[in-house]
Amino acid sequence: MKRLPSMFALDLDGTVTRREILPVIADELGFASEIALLTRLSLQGSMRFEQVFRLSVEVLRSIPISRVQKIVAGIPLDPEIEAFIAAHRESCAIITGNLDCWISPLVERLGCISFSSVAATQGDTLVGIRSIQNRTRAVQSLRKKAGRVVAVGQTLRDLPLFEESDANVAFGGLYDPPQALIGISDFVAYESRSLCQLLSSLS
Amino acid sequence: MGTGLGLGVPKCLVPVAGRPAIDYLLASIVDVPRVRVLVGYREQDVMAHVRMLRPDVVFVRDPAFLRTTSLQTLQLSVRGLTEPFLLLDGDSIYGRDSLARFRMACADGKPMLGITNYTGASPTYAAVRATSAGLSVSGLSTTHVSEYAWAKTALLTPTLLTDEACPLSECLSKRLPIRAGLVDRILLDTVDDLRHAEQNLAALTRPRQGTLIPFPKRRLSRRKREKAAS
Repeated sequence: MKRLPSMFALDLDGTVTRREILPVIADELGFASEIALLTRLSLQGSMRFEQVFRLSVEVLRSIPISRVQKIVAGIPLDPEIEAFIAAHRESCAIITGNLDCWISPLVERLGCISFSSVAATQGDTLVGIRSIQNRTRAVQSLRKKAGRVVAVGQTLRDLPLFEESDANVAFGGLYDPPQALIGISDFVAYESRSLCQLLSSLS
Repeated sequence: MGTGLGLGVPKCLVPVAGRPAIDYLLASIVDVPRVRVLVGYREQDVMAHVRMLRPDVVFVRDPAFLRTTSLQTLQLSVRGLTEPFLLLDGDSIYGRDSLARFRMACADGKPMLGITNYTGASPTYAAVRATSAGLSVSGLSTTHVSEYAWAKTALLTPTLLTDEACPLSECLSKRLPIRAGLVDRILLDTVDDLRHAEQNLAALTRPRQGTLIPFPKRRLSRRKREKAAS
């Protein structure tokens, strides 16, 4: 039986990157405690990601985009996952709620397609949020490119991604995936090397 | 699920001489680079424990474990694989040496079934023939009593597995004969099995030369004796 080609929908924060992006930006800019609180509320599921994200952007919007990009460019990526993406660029997609203008250095480095929130900008200034990334729609878009979508994520933020995808891998790279996410996963991996071996077999 | 042992833990976590049963298996395959562990009953407990010893394991979830057949669970476990894979039973204590020998015999990648002379409480009997090429299994059955049982241990290829909702042994029966190798293996089904595993643990897990451990013959239940006689 011929296997359908897969698209891999990879959560960016804490899956591909080795640190959560917003807290890194906030730390560099002196807003660490404010964003840490918001991030914690988001990870716990106490506040919806959209609410947390809008508040975080309000806190950080006065910072020039180029400065944020410089910080983001320095965030370490998981080398195994980066290598996997490099070897499967056409079948990988980055999924993130972060703003396109902030994460562009990482997306360019990874060289695959991405689905992110879209910023309204004026020159080097962030003036607002045009749209917040919708993980369900991202999967629907990916499904048009392939027979099935394999999602990789690790927090409650990824629930909509997992609910829409055809196969799910809960990855405990940075955090232990919550049981709610594991409960709708097909596979659970805790090391990036074994994760990538698994993804290779599913490609 | 370990209900026959009455200890309230999954069989793979049943303590054998103070350590969860699966520890011994993981120690035997420490050199195997890619390991998938199928989890169902009390998956969180199993994952938490196995992760401590082998953080590189990929867990395959079977949330419908009460309904899936052994063939279906194996199909889940090997999703995406195209190459031969080694099937091991996490609810068992293996003789370390015999497992190493079995693995060595599997190095050519051709299908092979592990058989044991410790038949256990509800065995899948293996009809074994000795040929010039070695041992081979010509039949698998839960009713036709034999000296050997299939040890739920095998080197298989994904193409051998069918998309049916039947036990794995039934699927493999259609592929016989398959060559066989002897393994020391005690499936932890009953309190007797657990006692036997603990009594023989040193011999099972210590590197040694020579033949297989002489397991005592299990006395068949009257129902099984009648079935065998008929």
